Amino acid sequence: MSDSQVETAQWASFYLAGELFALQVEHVQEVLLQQSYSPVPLAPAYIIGLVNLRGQIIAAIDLRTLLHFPTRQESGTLLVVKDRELIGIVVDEIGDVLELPASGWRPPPDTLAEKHRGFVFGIWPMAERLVLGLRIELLGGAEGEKQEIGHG
Amino acid sequence: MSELDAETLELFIEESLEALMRVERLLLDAERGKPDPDLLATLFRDLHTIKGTSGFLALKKILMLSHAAEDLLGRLRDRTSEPRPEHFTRLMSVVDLLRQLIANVRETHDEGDIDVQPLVQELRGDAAPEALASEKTALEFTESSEPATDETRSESAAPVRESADGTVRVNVALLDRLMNLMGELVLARNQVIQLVKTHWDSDAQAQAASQRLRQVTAEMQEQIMKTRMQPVARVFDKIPRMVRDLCQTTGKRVACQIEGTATEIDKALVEAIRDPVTHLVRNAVDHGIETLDGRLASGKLPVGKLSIRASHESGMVQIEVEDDGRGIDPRELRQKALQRGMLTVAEAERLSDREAFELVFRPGFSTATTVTEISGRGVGMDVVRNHVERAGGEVELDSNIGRGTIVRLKMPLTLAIIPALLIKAGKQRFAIPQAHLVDLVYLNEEQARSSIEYVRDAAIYRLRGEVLPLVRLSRVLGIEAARPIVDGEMGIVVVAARQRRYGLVVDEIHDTEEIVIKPLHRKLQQIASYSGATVLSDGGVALILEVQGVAAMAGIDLFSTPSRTPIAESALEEISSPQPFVVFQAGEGALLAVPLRMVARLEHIPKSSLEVVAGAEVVQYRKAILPVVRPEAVLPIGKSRVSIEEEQPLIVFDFGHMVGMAVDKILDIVNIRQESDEDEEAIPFILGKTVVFGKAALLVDVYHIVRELAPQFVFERRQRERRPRLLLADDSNAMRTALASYLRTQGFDIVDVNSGDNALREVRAHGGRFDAVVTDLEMAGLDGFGLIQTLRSELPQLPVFVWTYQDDLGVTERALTLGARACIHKLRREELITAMHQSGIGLKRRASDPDVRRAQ
Repeated sequence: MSDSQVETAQWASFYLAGELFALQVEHVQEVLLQQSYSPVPLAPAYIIGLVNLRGQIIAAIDLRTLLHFPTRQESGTLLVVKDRELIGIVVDEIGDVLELPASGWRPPPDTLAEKHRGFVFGIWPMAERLVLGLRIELLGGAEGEKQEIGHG
Repeated sequence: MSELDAETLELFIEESLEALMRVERLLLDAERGKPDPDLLATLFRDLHTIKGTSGFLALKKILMLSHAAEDLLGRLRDRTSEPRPEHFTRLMSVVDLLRQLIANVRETHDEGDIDVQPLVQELRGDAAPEALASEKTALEFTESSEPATDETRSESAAPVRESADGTVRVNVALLDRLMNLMGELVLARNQVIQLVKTHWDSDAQAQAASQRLRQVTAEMQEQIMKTRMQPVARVFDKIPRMVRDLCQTTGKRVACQIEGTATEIDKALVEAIRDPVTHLVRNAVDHGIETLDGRLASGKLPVGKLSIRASHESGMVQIEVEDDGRGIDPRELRQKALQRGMLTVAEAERLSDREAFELVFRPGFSTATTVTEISGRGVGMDVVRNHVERAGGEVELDSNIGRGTIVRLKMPLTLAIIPALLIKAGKQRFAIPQAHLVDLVYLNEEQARSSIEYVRDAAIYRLRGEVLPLVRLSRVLGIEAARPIVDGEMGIVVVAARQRRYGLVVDEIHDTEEIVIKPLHRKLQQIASYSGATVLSDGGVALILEVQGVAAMAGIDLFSTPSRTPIAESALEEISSPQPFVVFQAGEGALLAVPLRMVARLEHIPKSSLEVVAGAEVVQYRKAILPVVRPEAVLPIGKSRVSIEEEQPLIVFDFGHMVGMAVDKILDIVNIRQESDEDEEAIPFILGKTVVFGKAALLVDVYHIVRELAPQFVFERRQRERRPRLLLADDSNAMRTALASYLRTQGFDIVDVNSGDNALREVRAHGGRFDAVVTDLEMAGLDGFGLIQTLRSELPQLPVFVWTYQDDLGVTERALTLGARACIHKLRREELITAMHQSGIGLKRRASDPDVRRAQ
């Protein structure tokens, strides 16, 4: 979490399912409007498909599925973020760039369900609304992916 | 390198980098004040740890350097040397150099060309102060096989360095970038060519420009590829030393002969062959070549011979590792496979020597009888194959008992740009690397229906005498899970996966195109069916198929590692309640049907080939005698009319031995839902009735008919691939245990529980894993009836068999009405097996069907 909380960082915000999320600006490479995706059969459910980003092929992730929100979303604005590799996340709408002092981050409320909480490192209570800080390292589905098997 | 080593290596790297950070800090502290003994002891310990682990991992340079540093620190600690500033300077250089070495190891599994000797010398001798004036001891490392020149020592960090002899040193990262751009250019060229084709087809100038672009790009691509080529010497040069060390450890004598070190291959592939070749050499010395006594005893020269050769073979690089050791005995391999339950006796006997050698590539299959330190537990050949195939290569093994073993790797020259065939499955496009392509077959609907045959439920196609299993791509990938193989006109892409060929049924076959391989996201790399993705000339994305992975998912036996992803299995688990039946005519025009999955093959033989031997009808079939039965012999369907047809239709079954059923006419394959016929009086050898083509048809109990008419040809079958799994519920421990062990000997896997409630829990948790449930009726809590009822509503496809002491017809009928497949008396447990076979459980298709195998 340490690198997500440096002094006063700039945060790129976006809306998803009515929530306002934020990612450190340095992680956001670019924003692409409506894209079409080539599906990947047998891929985990949260991977919508592949996108050709100027010759580089990146996987587009449905953040709603990854965050265990009930609805699935297969189209929308694509936020291209870079962590270990480039990935795209589909969001509803891009928000402003926010200047958020690190001291303002609070731990996520205990009442937030475990499955959602894993992806949020903290919340930043702004006057008008809450900002959810997204753990970028989990976007690749590394630890975040709960094994969905075993229901027979 | 084995997985174990790789793991140790990674740990070592982490640990050492951590230790070096500490060492650096302490050294700075020590430089400032008078070093205390505690501090020196900590430094000593850290370097000692690095020394120890690097020795274990055979990282010679790191070992030497840390050893020398450790010695110096020991002397300082023990006050045999007085600490001087230059000591710490040297130790700092050690830290720097170790970091570089470790970085090299991390990247290439090799310490690289760094020369540690000068620094080691300095550390050893209490060198004169002036010798230390050359403060920078750490050498610059460049990725090159050429000796470092003064030029490379210059401070310049620029990627390009000129040298006197007209060559230019280029940073590898720049080459990689160039290669990527080349890929982009190829894509852009493809797009332009496509555009010209569609829009300016009649414009000669555009055509010419397009043509020129094509030529130049191709030429440029070739030249850029050349810049990435490296000689295999980068791997081979390490071999003599390794062999020497191995000889010392094993006490063997081996002469090592290396040829073709100048053979060039893409840089990425040099890395890809490093581990496999190292492993093969170790194997050859450790397991292949005999001990001195062993060699003398078998009349061989005392010195074993190991040859490693590299050469260009038809656009591929071939690497051979050959020893003149004891060789591998295919009989031993078969024996071992038997012991491990990988093969049945019959299958082991049928295995050719060549196929037996393939066994060594199976995971966990080791032939060495003793575990040795060098090659470990025979981990390895499967990993070797894995590495080689991931890089797009192939590996095969041949051996002569007493004469030696040869392993052959075939690697592509380059990785990045390959020609591939574009196809469509469902609505999606995929690329199949041309290297795997054997043939393309197009069948119209009628041809498809007539030329696709079935071995049980597996479709096959005969291509010039070769029997090819067919796989519908969209089904394997779960795009259209239920789609049948034959579905209108069809395109078959015949591909080669290892020694095995199979037909990939696709929906459209497009052109071949040069594609640029792009890596997939981490999560997607785990899916066995893809090796990467590519951008097509229209800008769209296509996945690149890995034909081995697809074959494994489809259940084609390549003697391979099991499919890498569990997703694949579930995608293939398609259980639909209506099952395909072969519908045929026999007797006085009666309609009969048998489950397709029981059918080995449908044949038409000349009537003249039927013979009567010892009162029984037989036919010469595939170099064996096939007994022939006629359903009208036991069924009340009247006698067949004598037909004037020249050909006799034959449905061939395999009950351990092939048996043919002579019928009048094979009509069709139809999906039929098998229903129990409660209100019908039972006809012997008839399982039930159904309606086909608007007429009543009888479902024939083939197993019993054959057992009645040709009992000597019915053998109990054993399964190899996947033993059918049964859930067994009975509250009597003794009965349950007895039945479970009996069923296990009959080739079933058993999970047993002591109540209906537990059975339900088990099924709810793992329902998909069971092929059937066997339950007692009287049990405390949820009884057998309740269990059947619940299961029928929750998992209607899961067959339930009742086994009971109840003879009361009312009771058994109630169980059957609730949906039990059969009620078996506890004293007649073999009937349980029969009943299961009739439901197709325990009679599953084996990928290595004897018939298919022989025909190949």
